[in-house]
Amino acid sequence: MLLISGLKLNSLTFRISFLFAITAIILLAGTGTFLYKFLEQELMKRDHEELIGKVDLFRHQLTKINSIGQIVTAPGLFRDVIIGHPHLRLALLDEQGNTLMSSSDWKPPAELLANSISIDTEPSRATMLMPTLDQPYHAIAAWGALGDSRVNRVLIVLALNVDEAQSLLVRYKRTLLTTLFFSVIAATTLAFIIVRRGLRPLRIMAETASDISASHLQKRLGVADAPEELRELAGAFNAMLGRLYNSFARLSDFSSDIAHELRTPINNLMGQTQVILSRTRNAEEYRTVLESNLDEYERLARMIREMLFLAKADNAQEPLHAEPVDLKTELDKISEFYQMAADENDIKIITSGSGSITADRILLQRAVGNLVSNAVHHSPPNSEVHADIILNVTSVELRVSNQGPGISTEHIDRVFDRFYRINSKRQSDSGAGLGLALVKSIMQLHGGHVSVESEINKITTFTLHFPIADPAVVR
Amino acid sequence: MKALIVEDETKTGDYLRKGLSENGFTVDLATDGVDGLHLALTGEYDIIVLDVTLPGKDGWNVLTELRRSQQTPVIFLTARDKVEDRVKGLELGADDYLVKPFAFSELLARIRTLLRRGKVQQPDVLKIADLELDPLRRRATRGQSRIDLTAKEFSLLHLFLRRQGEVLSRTFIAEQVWDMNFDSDTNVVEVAMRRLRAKIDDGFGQKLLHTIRGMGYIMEERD
Repeated sequence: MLLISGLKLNSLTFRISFLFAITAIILLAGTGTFLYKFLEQELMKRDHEELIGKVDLFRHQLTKINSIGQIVTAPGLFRDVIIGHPHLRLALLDEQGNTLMSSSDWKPPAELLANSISIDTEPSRATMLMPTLDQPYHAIAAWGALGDSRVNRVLIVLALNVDEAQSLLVRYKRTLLTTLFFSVIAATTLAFIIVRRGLRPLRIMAETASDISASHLQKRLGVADAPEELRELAGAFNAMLGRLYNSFARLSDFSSDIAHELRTPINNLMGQTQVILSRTRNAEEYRTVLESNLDEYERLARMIREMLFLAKADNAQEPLHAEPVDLKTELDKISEFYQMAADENDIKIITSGSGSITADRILLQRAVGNLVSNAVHHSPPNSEVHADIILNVTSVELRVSNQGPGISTEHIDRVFDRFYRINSKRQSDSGAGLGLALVKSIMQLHGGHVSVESEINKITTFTLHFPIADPAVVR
Repeated sequence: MKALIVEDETKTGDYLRKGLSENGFTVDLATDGVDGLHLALTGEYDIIVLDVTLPGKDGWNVLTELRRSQQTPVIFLTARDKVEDRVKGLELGADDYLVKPFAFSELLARIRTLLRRGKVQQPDVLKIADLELDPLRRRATRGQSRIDLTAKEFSLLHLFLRRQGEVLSRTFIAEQVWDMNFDSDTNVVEVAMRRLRAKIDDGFGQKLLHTIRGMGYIMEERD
């Protein structure tokens, strides 16, 4: 019972054991039925052969006499044949159906005699009567000729009481069923134990997995000692844990980053306001502080909007309003907009190429705008920013490149991280460090990605890769 | 102009009332949905500013019941900016919505847009003081001299002349003139404004384009 406790109907152990038990029942029942039938047949065959043998013997005895009257006068001639065979019954009948002699208390069954004319003379093809519930005799009827006259004949009816054979079969059946019952129980129990043992690695795995919580995400399932079939699962599970661990780490980094990013501006706002309120000032001073506060509030509001967008994009909650977008039109608009700021440093924004994609126009503007704005921001005076649309077979690329200090290898993998700034100083004129993270999220929402290549003091290129569902549509 | 503000957050309600009063509105303030609906149905308001999350009766319900009898323009304020929320508001019959945090100048601009809806058409030639702009002939003049403007500078000036006396935020300007529909680099707008100002104000005694720090720009005649 201990084994059964805690066993759920849909558990693997239960299912396998159950199927195994069913299989065992079918196999054992099949074997039992076959053996029973075989024994029954054999017994029948034995009886039949015995009866046929006896009929032959009677025929032989009949040849020794020449008239039917002799049967009555010398019954010993026939009775001797069945002496020592307590189960045998005998009756001899003439052609009119009169009983010439019979075993004391026995009457040949009527069915057997109903059409005595058609009864064959060949004993091997004698008419048979099988035992039934009412009538426990295996009977046979056959004609036997007297002497050598070949004229007078007598109907030999022999019957074998099968009670003994029947009771043998009944005992056999009972033993068989009992054996079957215990075999099935034994097989099911064994199956259960074997399956439990066999599934132990799975249980161990489950125990390990249940130990894993947010604070113990480093724990891994043992892949090396897992059985072949589970190794792949364990590997996939571990890989999932790895990804979880990474995003979890990033999430908690993100939360602490948010706290840090908010602390500085709020500290400024509080301090500034407290100082200005500490004594009476003229209106102009109040105005200056309020205006400066407003700048700070705007930055905070913007940061909140961007963080909300990132959070929603992560959960894929931000719906895409996808529409066909002509890239050249959008790119030209964006470059015209940023060209005004670029003019200040004699930077020229040069666009090339054309193409169209299906995208959310506003998000696309935002991604491209961020890249162009960054490029202009980091370009030296008197240089060029290139924004090119490139059509590939399976994707459309939008490349924004500029000359400048470049991004060193230690930073390049992290530039798309939230709040990541290459020079860790928080500058009041720059954003919150979310620009490139936004670009990355926007590209992911579009099923694409963003990549960056940079050479120190040479060219830095950011590329947006938009996949094309049907390449033929673009051209 | 009569405005109704339905807002349960005291600070928000107070500054909205102050701001709208100073911009020429007669303002009533309700702090829950039941009072808000009652005022909205009985007072003759030109505009209603409605918060979504309200005690008593939420903004959706107030709007639904209001729309059974009245078509007063309604601007929704909401801290949640799920698209379903916006769609719901607009489907229930709101005329516009703003997501918190928003700039006050933005709210004012949107209210004015709603109030202007269906009103008299703009005159053929727009003017302020001695500055004139003819959108059809694409000509701008100040006093006797013609001003040379690029296409975008023309659109920018056109926008300011249409919205005289209104503070326009940088984001709003970027959206209207350059079709930049995101939190774009607002420094760019500053550059554009500087250039436009150089063309229309520099060398003239009376300045028309003014900077409101932290809020944006305004075109008006000041003494």
